[in-house]
Amino acid sequence: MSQIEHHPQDDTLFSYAAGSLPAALALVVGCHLQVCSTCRSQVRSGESLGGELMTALAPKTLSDRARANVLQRLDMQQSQSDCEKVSVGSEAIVSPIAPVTGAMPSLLQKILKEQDFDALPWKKTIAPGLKQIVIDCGEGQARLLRITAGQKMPVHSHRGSELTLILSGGYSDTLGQFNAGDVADLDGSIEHQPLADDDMDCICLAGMDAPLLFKGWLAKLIQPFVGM
Amino acid sequence: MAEIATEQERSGEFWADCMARIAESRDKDSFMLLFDHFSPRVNAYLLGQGAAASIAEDLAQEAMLALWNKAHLYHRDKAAVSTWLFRVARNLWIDKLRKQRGIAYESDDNLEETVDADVRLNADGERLKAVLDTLPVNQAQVVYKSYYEGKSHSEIAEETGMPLGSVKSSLRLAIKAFRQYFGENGV
Repeated sequence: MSQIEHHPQDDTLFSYAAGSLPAALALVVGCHLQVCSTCRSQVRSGESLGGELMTALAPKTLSDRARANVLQRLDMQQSQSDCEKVSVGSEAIVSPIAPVTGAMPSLLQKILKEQDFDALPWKKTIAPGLKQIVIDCGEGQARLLRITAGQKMPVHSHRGSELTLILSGGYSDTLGQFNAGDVADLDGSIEHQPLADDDMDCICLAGMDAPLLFKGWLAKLIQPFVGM
Repeated sequence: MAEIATEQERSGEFWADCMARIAESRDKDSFMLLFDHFSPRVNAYLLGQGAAASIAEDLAQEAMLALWNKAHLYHRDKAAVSTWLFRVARNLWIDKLRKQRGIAYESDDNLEETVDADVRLNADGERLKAVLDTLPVNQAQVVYKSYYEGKSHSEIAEETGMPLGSVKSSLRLAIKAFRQYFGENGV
């Protein structure tokens, strides 16, 4: 299958490890991690850093009551965890690195309660050849974008951070060719105009922590309608 | 004996030994050593993330009990105890206070490593703090706000007046400095 060439930047991966990425961006990273061992390893490093930094904090001792409470709960949990110990005879369930197949990542399947992109209620946008599904995730905006094969998007830049994971198909812009599994990690300084590959629709998961900023009068005009 | 090691001498190996004894023989003394060392730090971490004192105390207890209950899933060659505990604490904090972010993380049952990490950290907090102290102020600030306050890049930009791009590049430079340190001191 395709080789992943574009990854999230270190600041994005380490913030994910720190738990400080807004939900919409964290979701994109989470889906990328399902297929990318390189980035999993980076996130592990970020978690190691988190552990070390946590250890470096000035200790704030728990109350004596809390300590006694925990000690007491050890006894209560002893038999239960012994059972657990036995039942986990095989290694704990881990999610293996998934191959890049153009299928929907399992994190998304859970949210959308659907496994097939074609079964989703795609909504037209005012931009020609662009359909979308808005994913309500509480922090920032996440959406699935479906760009018709061969379609060119309007030139735009981004006011905040944007992460885009290609799920199926591909596109190219000034930054290069992006295929399934690749992530475009962009901030406000990048202006781009993605062109979807000819052979199939390009489906992406885009997470943003602030609304997009389209350039040009047409883009400014359509921005409120596209809502991106 | 490991038991008479001073607080200063207790290394990653020492804590991994404690985990092994909990897994093998449900050793309460080992657990309480871990508890007394780590729970005040988990508590401090959670308070820094904005948890109310009572919630931080509850979650810190829960995190420590997770060590007790899941000690058999811990592999010393895959992660430091502090890393493992950080992940537990972060996930608990997200579950409790930033539920919306929960969609992006694997569940607690996947605590076990799925890949070998590049870095085996065995550094102690004090030395790491020294690295933090050598960073330029803006880099240290960005690390501090990301890890200890759970702030997003744009929140940091807003609070500090730094442009978003500078927040991100400062964090990247800090990571680079930490990597260098890990590279030299990692096992």
